[in-house]
Amino acid sequence: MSSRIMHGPIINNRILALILALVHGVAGLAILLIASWFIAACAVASANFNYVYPAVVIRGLALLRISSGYGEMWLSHHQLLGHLAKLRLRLFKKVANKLDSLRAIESDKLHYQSQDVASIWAAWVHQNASALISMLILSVLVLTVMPAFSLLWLSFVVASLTIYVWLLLASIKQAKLKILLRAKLESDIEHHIDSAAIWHMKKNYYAPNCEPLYDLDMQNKRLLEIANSLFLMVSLFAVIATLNSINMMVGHYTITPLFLVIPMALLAAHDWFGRTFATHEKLQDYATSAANLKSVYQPPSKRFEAQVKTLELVGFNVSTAPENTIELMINRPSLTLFTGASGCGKSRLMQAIAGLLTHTGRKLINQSELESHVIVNDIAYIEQSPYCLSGTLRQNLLIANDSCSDAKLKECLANVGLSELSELDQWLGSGGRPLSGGELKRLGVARALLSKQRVILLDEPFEALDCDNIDQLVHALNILKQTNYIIIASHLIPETLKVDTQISLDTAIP
Amino acid sequence: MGLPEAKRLRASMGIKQVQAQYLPQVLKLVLIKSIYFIAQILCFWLFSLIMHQFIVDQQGYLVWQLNLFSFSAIVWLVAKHIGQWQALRLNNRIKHDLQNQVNQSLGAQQHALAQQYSTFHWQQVFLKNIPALAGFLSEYATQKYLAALIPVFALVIVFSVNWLVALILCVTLPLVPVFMVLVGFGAANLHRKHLVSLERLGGLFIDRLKALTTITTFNQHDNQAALLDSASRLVNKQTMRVVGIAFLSTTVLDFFATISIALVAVYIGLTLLGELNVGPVLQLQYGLFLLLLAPLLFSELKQLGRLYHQKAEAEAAWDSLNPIINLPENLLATSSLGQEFCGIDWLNFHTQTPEIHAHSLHLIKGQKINLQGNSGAGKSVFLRALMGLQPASHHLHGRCILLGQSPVILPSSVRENLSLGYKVTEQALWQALTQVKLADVIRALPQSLETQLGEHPPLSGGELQRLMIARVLLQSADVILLDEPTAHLPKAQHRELALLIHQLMADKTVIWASHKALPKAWFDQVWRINNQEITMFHQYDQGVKGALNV
Repeated sequence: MSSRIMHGPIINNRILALILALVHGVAGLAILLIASWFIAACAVASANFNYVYPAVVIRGLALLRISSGYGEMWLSHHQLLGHLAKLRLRLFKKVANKLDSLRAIESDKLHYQSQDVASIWAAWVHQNASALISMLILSVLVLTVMPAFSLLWLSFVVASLTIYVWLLLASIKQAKLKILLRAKLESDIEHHIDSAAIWHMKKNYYAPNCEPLYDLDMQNKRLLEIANSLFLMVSLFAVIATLNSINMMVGHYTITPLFLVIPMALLAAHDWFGRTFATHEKLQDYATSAANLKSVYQPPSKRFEAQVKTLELVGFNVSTAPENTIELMINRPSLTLFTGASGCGKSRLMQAIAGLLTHTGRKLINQSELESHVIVNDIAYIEQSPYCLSGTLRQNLLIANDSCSDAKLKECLANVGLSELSELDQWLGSGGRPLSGGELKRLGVARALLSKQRVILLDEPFEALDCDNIDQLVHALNILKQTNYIIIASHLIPETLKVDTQISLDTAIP
Repeated sequence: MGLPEAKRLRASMGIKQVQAQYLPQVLKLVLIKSIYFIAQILCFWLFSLIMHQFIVDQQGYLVWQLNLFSFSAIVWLVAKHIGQWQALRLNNRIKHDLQNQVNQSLGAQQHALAQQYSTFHWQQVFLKNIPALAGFLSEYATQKYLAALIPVFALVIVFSVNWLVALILCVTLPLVPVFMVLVGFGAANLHRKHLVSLERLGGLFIDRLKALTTITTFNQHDNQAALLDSASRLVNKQTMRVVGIAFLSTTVLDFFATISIALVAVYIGLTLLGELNVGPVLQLQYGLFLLLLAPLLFSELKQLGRLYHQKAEAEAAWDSLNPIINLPENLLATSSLGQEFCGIDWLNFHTQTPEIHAHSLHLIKGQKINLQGNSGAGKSVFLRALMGLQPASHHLHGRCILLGQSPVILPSSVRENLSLGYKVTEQALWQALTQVKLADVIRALPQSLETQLGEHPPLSGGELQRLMIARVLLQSADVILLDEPTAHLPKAQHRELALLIHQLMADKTVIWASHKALPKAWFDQVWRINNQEITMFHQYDQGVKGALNV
């Protein structure tokens, strides 16, 4: 309901911006044509020629063109920003609880692709609509006022539209090619960079070659160039043909100033119509991006709301590693430790327990089995490298529990050894103070300590910390485990950590 | 989008240097486009002449007039086409050159450089930054000359036809840049005022997407969506205030272009009517010609305005390309393949950023070195410097291999992961796998050696690290540098893998960095990095070590 109400002004702005764009385009062409007719009329004018009206019209059109130009830019930008904000909010809501559909790189893509989609009106629709409307108005004018030139004019229109449509179709075809090529190059570059550590061992040092994409881009521009040249050729040829047919009328008819209109329109055609060709690139971007944004739309996952009393895992693991399963039963406050080498899948197992990834085997909470991919509200998963939001320190902590007082936040910071960050209004992350690896770890544990959830999963919390910090964390965790169910995955095992259950995830070594 | 002022200035200086490299091609483009411009003016002249004869004299054209018109139309067409074609070629050449430079740098510094940036950054470098810089260098650079040249040229012609019209245009033309600069300053000031909040809030969408795991696990999606909504409202409001002024500069150009045409048209009309008697005598022919010519004064400036976005993009692109392309000189020249390793006897070894220094380093072929130091002391930097991937006073000669902490898997088969492009016999492959005790594991895989190792390889962390050792064994290397190959493994696995490495690399020269304990008897020397200084300790003399090994 509310989204419908919000739609209103955006659509109205969109239509208003389009109308202004049309006025801007048509007024520009009208000034040129009326002005040339006017001076021709003045040159052959009889004494009773009323020059006041045309002169006023020309100046009026000039003012109309300038103001509608500014209005269009302002309004279409306003509409673009509004559209972009709405689009991004909708995207953000769509990805709720959908983690595996989005990787870090994808989020950067969504950022600029949403821009491509939102800017289609300002970048393509406006120009093309005003060019086509100008073409239509001129056609009506020629057919009604100067029917003698109908055939010539219509041939010009047909030829222009043929070039226009051809380029449009070719662009869309190229856009599809470009998506494929880009995706391939993106993954090539990714694999190449990821394997940088072994380049010196390879026989041939191969580097990602973007030449095919550059060539495709050049092909696209060549297509555009061919269309431009063809169109210029068509319009210049039409000018010559028009001059020729006027020449044949000389002597038979009086050549009035009105005869100037058609050749003038043709001579300037690359300006008022040919300009649309270059905008088809934006349509390509739009097509690419819109397709990708659509693929993000998936139904959200469910969430399990109740409090966790017992957590039981039977023959359980993340579905990408079904061969290496674990058994676990937690029914009282305790600390469970998963050990194993990095890369053995500890993180993915933890995410499967929280319901962030799909699992094999059975997961029972409060004795009832949970489907794969149901996110459990009462489980908090703290990542190996916790994410620092671009926001204040307070926002970064309150995300774990928004009902905490400032005093509680400061106490918690002291408990995890982060008292150097005590300014709660300090901006952290992107656009502010960046956190070091060790600080991020402690921020994660601070969030765990603040959270209301009973089950807390900590992924490698001790890595990259010095001994003092580890002791401090262990102390805090030993207290927390008296009230909460804690599961820690770590390849480092601090001696003072009071572990109740230890599970090794390594089957590689007997 | 916009860079900070100081960075922007540095970027535009850097771009200017690259620009100088392509100046001849750019000037050639300017020349071709000037020819096209002259042909266009000739076209307009003949068109005006013919129309004058039609309307005023009620006479047909002369054959030479139409022929000349057709001829200049063809020159116009051809010159335009060639100009664009050449511009495209230049564009592609620049892209090609830039890509080569980036790849050269990557080849010289390898993972020392590759790991400095995210994968996304590298994708941007190849797919966005290089094209952006090439676009600027080929299109914007040319247009800048044209925007300065063509209006002056057009003005001269207008002047020769009618000095009064030239005067009108003369007054308006210089006003355009003045107003554009004034408006530009206003917008920039306003932008600066809101810069921090615009940057922070504008980046919120992408930031919260990256924080999705945290947001999901704490069930904060709705709160964050509300935050995003209010932030974008605020950003949009501030942005509109900035662009509202910035758009004025485009409007100024439009204003002068449109008004001068309207003024010229009305002036010509009234003069032709005889209502105005200022300036030289006009005929329709000249009036029409002036009307056609006047827009050309502004069209190249307008085109420059359309390309203006390329400038900001190119500056951003330069900012990320420059540190990659412009490497320290001594890095690019280091190719030592083909030379043989015969030990180290170095005095006064040092690296730049970060600085590490060693008074002397000695090593005899076949010796084993244990490299020690706290994390962050610079062990990895030192090893990379030895490889010649980091600027340093010395680097190793001969075939050296560096084995790192995390296993590196190519998205291809086990076989390709082991052979890395070399011709390796089936027998050698299995022998290496047997040596690292992986033969049974690989044999048990569904497709044995041809099994694809993708994003989630069917091997455990320990197994993958042994695969890496098998890979090293297959390379006939003189020196093996080990950078904490067991760092991520639990104790038991660390011991087993370390022993395996020790046994298999007995006949090689090994420099082994580790902060996990390794038996002292395995090493001839300990090199310890402390406070940016490397100190050598001789463990045992050869005799004792030999005795232990038996």
